[in-house]
Amino acid sequence: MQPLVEVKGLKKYYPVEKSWIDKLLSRERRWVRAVDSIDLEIERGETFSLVGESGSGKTTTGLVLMQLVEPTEGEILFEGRDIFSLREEERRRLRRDMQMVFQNPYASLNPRMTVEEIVGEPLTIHLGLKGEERRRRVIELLDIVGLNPGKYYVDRYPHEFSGGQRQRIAIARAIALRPKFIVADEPVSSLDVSIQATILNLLQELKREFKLTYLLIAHNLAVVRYMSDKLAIMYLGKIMEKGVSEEIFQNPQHPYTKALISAFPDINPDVKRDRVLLRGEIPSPIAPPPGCRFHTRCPFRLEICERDEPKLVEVEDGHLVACHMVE
Amino acid sequence: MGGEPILEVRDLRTYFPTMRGTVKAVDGISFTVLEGETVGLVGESGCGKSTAALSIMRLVPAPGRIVGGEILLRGRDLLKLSEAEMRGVRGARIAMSFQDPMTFFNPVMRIGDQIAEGIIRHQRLSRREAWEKVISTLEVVGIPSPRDVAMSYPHQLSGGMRQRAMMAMALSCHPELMIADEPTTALDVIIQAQLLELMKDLKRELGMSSLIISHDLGVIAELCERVAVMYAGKIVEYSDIRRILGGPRHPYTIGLLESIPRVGFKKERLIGIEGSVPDLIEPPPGCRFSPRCKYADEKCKEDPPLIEVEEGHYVLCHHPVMGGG
Repeated sequence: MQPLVEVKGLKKYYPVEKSWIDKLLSRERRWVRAVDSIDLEIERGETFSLVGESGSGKTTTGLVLMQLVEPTEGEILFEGRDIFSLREEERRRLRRDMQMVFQNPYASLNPRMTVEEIVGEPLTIHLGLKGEERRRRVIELLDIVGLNPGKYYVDRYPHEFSGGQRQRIAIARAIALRPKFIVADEPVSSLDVSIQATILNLLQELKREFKLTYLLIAHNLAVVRYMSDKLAIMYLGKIMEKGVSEEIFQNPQHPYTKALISAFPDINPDVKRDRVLLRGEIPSPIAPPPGCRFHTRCPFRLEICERDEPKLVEVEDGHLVACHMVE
Repeated sequence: MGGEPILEVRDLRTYFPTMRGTVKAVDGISFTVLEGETVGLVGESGCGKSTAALSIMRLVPAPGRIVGGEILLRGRDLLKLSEAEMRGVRGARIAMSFQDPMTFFNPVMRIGDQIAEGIIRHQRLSRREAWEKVISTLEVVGIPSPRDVAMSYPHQLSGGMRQRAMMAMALSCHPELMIADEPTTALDVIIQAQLLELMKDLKRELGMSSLIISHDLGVIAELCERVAVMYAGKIVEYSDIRRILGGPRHPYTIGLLESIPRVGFKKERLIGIEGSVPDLIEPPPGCRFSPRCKYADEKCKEDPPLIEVEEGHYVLCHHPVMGGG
C-alpha cells in the first residue's frame, strides 16, 4: 500500500549571515545544514517518531512537512502527490488534512482570542462555518478532548487554563477539520509528568477514534517508546537508524542509538546499566564532520568513518542503520 | 549511611503575600540530610521545592518570607544568623547550583573571574592562587581545556559546559552541603547522562552531602538515597529511594509513578492524574491532594496525619495505600 506521507531526499539549508570580515575577504556563503537528505515513509494509521537531540533537524523536518518552511531540495508526497508542485488552492485544500500541535501551549494560543475563536478559526476559514453552528461544533470538539462540559469553557481566554488544558485546546483546534495527518512537535515536554500522561492517552484515543496518522517529534525516549509504531533517530540532519520502534528499543544497532537509550535515566534503581557514554557535544551543523557525522563522538570509530559517509542499509526487514560497523 | 545530620529542616514555612492573599509556597516541611548522603526533593511545578531550596540559602525573593521553622546546619539555626554571618555560609558551607546557568553567571565577566571571586572572598587567597584553584576545580568537573574555559565568557560555552562551570563554582570552596536545583533539566539526554555520571563520581570521591531538587524521578533515582515527595507545599511521602519507587504508599506518589512511561518497558497504559495542582492561596481543606485522589472521603477534609508506615517511611495521608505501586 502507498504510504500516507513520503519524504524523498529532503534537504533544508539555512543561510548564515555573512559577517563584515566574510564580505571583506569575499568568503563564500556558509549554510546551516539543518536537514541533509533524509527519506521517510509514514504509513496510514501509524505513529512515526523523529528522535534526536536539539539541533538534529527533527523540528525542521516537521515544519517542512507542514509547508511552513520551503525545502532546499527534495520531495514530499502526501497520498502520492508532491505537495510542493500543487497549485495554491489544492495546497490550501491539503492543509485541512495536515495539522500541527506545538510544544508550548502558552505560545501557540492567541491570548486575545476566546477558545471559541481559537478552535473555530479553521472551521470558518476552511468550511465557512459561523455563529451558532460553529459554536456547536467547537463545544463538541472541547468535549472530545476532555474539556467537558465544553459550553463551560468555550467563552474563556487561554490564561484561564492550565498548561495541560491549553494543550487540549490546541489539540481540539488541530482535529477540528478532521485531518488525516498530525505533526505533534514535543506535545508534552512543557507539561508536568502527571499531566503528560493524560495528554499522551488523549492523543492515543483520538488516533483510534479518528484513524489519525501521527508524526511525533520528541526527545524523551520513554514518551517515544510509549507512543510509536516506527521511528527514526536523527543526528546532525541525517538519519542514523530507522525502523519498527520495539525492534530498535530491544535491538539498537547504531552506536548513537545505543548511547541515547542508555543515557536515559530510569526510575528503577536496580537496573544495572552499561552506559555508552559519549564524549563532547554535538558539532556545529554549519561544518559537520566529514565521513560519518557521528564519528567525532563515536566510541567505536574506525578509520573509514572519518572518510566515507555510511549509507542507510537494511540489517533486518525494515530496520535500517547508517554505520560502517554493521555493514 | 547513618552519619551525623548535616542539615535538619524543621517545620519550615515560606509564604508570599500577594494582592489576592498569602501563597503558602512551603507550608511546614521537615527533612534531614545526613553526612555523605544525597537527598532528593521531587515534585511538579509549583509544589514548593525550589522555594524550599532558596529558603535554606535564605535567598527567598521578596515579598516572600520565611515565616516559621528552623533550618539547622550542624545544629546551628541559619534563620537566627545575621545577614553578614549568612554570607559566610553561602558558597562556603552550603553551595547551590541552578537550573539555568545563563541567568546565574554574570554575562560580562570571565568564568574564571567569577569562580575566583568566591574563592578569594571565602578562603582569603591571592588572585593568582585563586586562579590556580579555579583551573584545578574546572578539571575536577571534567572540563577538557580548563584554561580556555576560565578565560571565556558565559555565552561562549555550550549548555553542558556552563552547567559544569557552575558546578565547579559550587565546589570551589569545598562546601559541606551542595544544593542542586534541577541540575540537568535544561540539557539534552546525552549531556545529561555525562553530568549524572560526573555527579556520581564527585559523590564517591568527595563524599559530599547534597540535596537534589528535581521534577524528574529518573534523575532522583540515579543520584539519591532518600527522597521527599512534595505536593502543594507539603512533603507527602518521605523514605529511602527503593521504597518510594518499589512500594509507594501515598496516592500522589503512586499516581506520579504511574504517569511515567519507562524506556525499559514495553507499552503499558499510563494512568496519569486528572485535575490540576490546587490554588495555594486557598488550598482545599484538609489533605491538599484530596480533590484529585481516588481514595478520598469525608475524613480527608481534615488535616492528614504524618504516619510512619514502616521504619523510616513517612506518609502524610488518612488512607495510606497498602502494597501500592
